[in-house]
Amino acid sequence: MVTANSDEKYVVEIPVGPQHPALHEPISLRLKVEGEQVVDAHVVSGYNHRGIEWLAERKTFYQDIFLVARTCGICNAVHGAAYVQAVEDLMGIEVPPRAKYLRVLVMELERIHSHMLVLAVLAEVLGFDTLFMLMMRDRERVMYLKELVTGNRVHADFMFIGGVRRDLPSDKKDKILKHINYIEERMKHYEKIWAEDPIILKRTQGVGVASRSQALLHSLVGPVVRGSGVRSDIRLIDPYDAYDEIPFNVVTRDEGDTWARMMVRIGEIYESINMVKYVLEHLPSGPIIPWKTIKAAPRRFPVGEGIGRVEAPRGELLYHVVSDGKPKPYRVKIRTPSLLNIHNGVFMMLDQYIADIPAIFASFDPCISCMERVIVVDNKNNRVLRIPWRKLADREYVKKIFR
Amino acid sequence: MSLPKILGDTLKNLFKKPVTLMEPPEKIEPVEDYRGIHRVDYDKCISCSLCAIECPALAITMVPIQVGDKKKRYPKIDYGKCVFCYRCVEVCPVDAYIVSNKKPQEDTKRVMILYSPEEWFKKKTSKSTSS
Repeated sequence: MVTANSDEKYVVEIPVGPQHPALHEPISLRLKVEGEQVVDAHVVSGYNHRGIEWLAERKTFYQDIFLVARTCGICNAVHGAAYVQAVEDLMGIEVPPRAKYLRVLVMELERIHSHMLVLAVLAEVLGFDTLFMLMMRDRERVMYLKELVTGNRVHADFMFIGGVRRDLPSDKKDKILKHINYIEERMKHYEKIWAEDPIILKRTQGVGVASRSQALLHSLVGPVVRGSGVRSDIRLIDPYDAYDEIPFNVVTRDEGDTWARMMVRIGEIYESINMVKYVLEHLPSGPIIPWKTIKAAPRRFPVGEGIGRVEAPRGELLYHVVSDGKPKPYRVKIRTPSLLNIHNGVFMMLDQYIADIPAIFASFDPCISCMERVIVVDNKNNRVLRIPWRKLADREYVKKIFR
Repeated sequence: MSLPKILGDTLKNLFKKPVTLMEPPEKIEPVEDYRGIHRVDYDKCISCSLCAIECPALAITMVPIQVGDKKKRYPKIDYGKCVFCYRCVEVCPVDAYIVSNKKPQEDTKRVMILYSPEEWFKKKTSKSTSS
């Protein structure tokens, strides 16, 4: 038994989650603490596994457009865009310019509302509920804009192989501009709060620091790595859709702490707003799919593979689609940004206080439903199997395991 | 230490109406082309079952119905499974789907959950017999 006045240092393991008021999503953090300071941390995931990749192999290429969008509720349009890009790469389809611009419009609207959400959630984690409420109220306008453009406020289902599924009538442009201008004005106000509020600064500055070399070493992606001063953005280094024609800046900050990550996100909201305005002004005319109607989309898929790579609100998102010439894909591999940021970003929690852990964790913008991967538990022999992807692609091996 | 910048917002909001609406008494109107409840015009339907094949949520099943002397298969929609992606609407070769911007209603009686061809044809036969 340990008494309070003993001089010996002892380490206590604290489980945080999977159900915990500080974390909004089902993930478990095992923190080893010495007093108030974290000396070791590791992440246990697997509470939200739904087998999307498995299911994608059992549905047709067209059904998968809607299935992969359900991987993540917040960034559903980018998931759709990445999958559709991979299938276009496989089939060798050229997307019409108008469809490219419309895709950018929806993806940037999504980036605005995703970043506003994490800014609000971090404020709530810090105990700043007023800011949370106000930001969520203004975020609802972006959701309305998404409903206006795509037909649903959350699940856009906007992307289609070869283009997009619905056109943007010119009378909707004024409405979008009106709301976007309002959001820009409000964001200036919120930026002031984030930059000057003494409580926010005390809770976030110098907390969870990742230096430039550390961020590169742990292969972090998205706003997390840009907050450490790395100019890494798929829109810049590997332009897709219309991003090579639309001007934008990559926002970076050198501090590398929780605050810097949030300020990068605020800067990106401004960039996205400017891009939405540019798209509305320079929207080219023409068809939105390469065929006459959407019913004329081809039903045959060639043997081969394709890759789709987009910059999701949380970082690089990659889709790898393999086809063996059948109507269903042979393999759909999803590599989400949250997987890298959450599992590799644990080093930032070391030597921090317990009270700061939720703030650091929320600053990664964790999306748990994106990142769950397969673990096989063998009850008979009491062991846990972690299957490498190379083996998982082998059907016979999988059949043997899941028999 | 300066005053928190949020104080102005807080004071302003004290004298404003709440933004949250209470549905049902108040109503949130969706946009005109919102993907809402959709119906099948069974007179137009040619029983090709493309919608049932293409549905990503497997919400559409083809059920056999006796029409006159012939037995035909017609789509039956389960709104409990439906994800309102409108793939069926855009894939239909004869545009037999009727779209609306109505949201699926919250109901305890589960009236809205199934839309099957049986009622449609029952109504039709009762109309023709009465006239």
